[in-house]
Amino acid sequence: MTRTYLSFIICGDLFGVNVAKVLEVLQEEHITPVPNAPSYIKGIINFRGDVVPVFETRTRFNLPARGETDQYNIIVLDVSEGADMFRMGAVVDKVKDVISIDDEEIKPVPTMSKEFNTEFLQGIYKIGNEFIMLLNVEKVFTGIELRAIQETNVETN
Amino acid sequence: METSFNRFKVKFIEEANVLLDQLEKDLLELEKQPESKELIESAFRSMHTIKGGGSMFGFETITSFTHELESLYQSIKENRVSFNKDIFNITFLSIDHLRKLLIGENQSNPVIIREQTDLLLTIKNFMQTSTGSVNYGIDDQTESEPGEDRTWQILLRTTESIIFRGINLMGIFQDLSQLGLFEISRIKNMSNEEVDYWNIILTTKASEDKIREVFIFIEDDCTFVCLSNQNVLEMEFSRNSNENSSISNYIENIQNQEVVSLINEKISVKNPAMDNIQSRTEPGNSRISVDSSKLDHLMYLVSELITLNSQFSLNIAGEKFERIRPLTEKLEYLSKQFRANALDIRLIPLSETIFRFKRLIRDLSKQLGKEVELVTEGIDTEVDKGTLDQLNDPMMHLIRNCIDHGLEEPAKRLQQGKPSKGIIKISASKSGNYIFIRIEDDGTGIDIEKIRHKAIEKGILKRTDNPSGQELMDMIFLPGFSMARNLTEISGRGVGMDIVKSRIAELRGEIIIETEIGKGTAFILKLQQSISIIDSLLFKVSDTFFTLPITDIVSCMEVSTDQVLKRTNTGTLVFEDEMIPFLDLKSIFNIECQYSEFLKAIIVISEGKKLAVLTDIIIGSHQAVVKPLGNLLKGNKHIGAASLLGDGKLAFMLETKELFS
Repeated sequence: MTRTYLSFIICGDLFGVNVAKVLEVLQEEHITPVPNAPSYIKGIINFRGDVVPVFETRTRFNLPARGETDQYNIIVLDVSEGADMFRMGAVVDKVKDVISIDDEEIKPVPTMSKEFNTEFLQGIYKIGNEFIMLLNVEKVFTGIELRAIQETNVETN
Repeated sequence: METSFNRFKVKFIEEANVLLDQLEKDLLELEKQPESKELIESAFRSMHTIKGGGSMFGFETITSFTHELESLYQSIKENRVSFNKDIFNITFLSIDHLRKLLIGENQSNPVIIREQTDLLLTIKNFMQTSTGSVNYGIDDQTESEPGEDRTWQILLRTTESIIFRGINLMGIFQDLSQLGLFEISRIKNMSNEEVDYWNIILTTKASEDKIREVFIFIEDDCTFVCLSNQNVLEMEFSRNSNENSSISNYIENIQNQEVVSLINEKISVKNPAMDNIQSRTEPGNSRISVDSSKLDHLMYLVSELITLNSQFSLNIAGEKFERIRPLTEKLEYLSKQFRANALDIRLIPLSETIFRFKRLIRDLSKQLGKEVELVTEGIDTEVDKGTLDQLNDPMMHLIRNCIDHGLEEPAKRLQQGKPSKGIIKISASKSGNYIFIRIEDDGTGIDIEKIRHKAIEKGILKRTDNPSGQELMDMIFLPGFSMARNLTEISGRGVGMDIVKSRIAELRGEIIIETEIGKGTAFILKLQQSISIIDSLLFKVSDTFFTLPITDIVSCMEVSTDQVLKRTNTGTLVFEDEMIPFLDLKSIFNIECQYSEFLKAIIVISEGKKLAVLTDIIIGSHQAVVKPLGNLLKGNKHIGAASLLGDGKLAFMLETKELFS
């Protein structure tokens, strides 16, 4: 089966997410930082009238922090966790384009540096000379919820 | 298909619960005036609709059970049985039973089934002893109808709304078959996707009223025409039994156009008879029930409009916009009205929940051998739907407390020179954006000295402590602090006073107790009428915006930063000859910035205690549209929600109560 993916760049590497989960790509939207929030939550945004938390993918992937003036995009996604669905934004360096990939052409995840949690990836796809790392958004952005609450509690106490 | 059926099913459960509420309401009234034909009719109608809907959506247990109950009421309607205490008790138990049947898998729950068998037996026994025979109500009634056979044409118009109203067409046809022979066909050339027209030819001895009774719930969508004083159908049957639809075709051709114009006229012109029926079942105004998510969406649109409007106003400063300014002012005025109106739609009179308490009071007073009268005042005061739903449990608990601990036994009351009947009074009033609900009894009152003893006993209070009356009274709300001498079944279980308090706090409300020994106790709930838009004060620290509800703010003042720095060891400030603690937003939220020479202190009050919130710059008043932050940020207890500012930025709404902890 062929699926469509949105590709984007974080720290020079190419990543992809299933387009079916993407609601919108925002350009340089103002992000309101939340006091005492966990480090990987960059803040909140007003998205179609709702408050949506925004994740900093660089922090989440243990990559060097983003500079104050660096350009960025926010990808707004619907992520399911069990029966629940929640909306979130992911800050990435730059959104590239939309590509179609056949399921059968997706390669398994190779061994990678210790810093990078390979559970976050669903597979690898080779396009020309480049590799796209296809993200498993459920793994990347869920399961954090509980930790986020705990961390915030620790910080405020 | 499957999903739309399920939707209808959910709708039926919803409607059935409403009908059961209505039935309960009618019964409580009937207890007072058992003669009222209107009330019996209304009760009967509720049962009948539940029965019909039940069989349509696969609740057979409900249908068969309601059928028996209905038979009993049929006998009452026809004066063969008269009301007595047992009938009321059976009916109340039946209502409870039906409520259980409406929940999930309960229809196949063996305990529930046994309960049903017992109840049915009681109902049947009861009817046998009262009437001498088991009577199957309406179904058997019509057979002995006197008179000649007559043939009727009934034109029926069906739309999706019939299903929404929980009306069971099959049930109607079943009832119809009891009246006589009938035939039904769809009028093809007139039906379309939304509306179906049906032609029913009925031969019966029954009177027009009897026929109309069958169609009582959809009378507006029917037209009745008497075709002949003979049995046309039978004549046709005997002549041409293979093609028995030809007669209806024949009648269809000669009558349809007329009848349809008749029926359409009837629908467009208000039928005064129907209006009467509606006003009986829904006292007051004609109303419409809407899915609450639609209201939420409306509120969302309104809040977006308000936000957009303030963005707009910010962007048209300067001379070149002079010409459109009057227009924007008008827009602002309109959107404010729109907002007020949208908020108003969500408001529901308190009386909608009060009738539930009537039942509770009735049952409790019987159980405890106390005589109780419920008095209400101002219960047409309106409260936000969401708030009202969450108020149910706490209010129920307070009423339980009043009856169980507050009111004395009749004999004891007489001894004290009080009337034997105790009074529970529920009154409500509105003041500004606040609603006050007062639940009081004229019973024993709460003895503060007893609380003091109890508190010392429990080690909460030292013997040397000298707390104020109010502080002692507040101990009632501590978890596990029960004043009941002996835990009764009623108040010893379920939510405690501590839960009542936290529920009220969740609604941003307060609870106050007033009591006098020998005179009674009053619980006063102070609530905000609407909690989705809050009048707030907007201020900021560096680039982070915050708001606090205006109603929590006592005053604002300026303090010099030096002064504050000197007092950090005590953590207090002087405000109107008082030492009050202060909270520095910059430090609790780890905001990196430099304060200027002077700081602003916002003095807030909660439960009589004051606190100074230190901030950088006060911006002004702000209509805060509450946006929940979601689970991810729930850990941040000082921040309850966020609100959108005119320029698209977000402000954090501080929780006054949490600032004190």
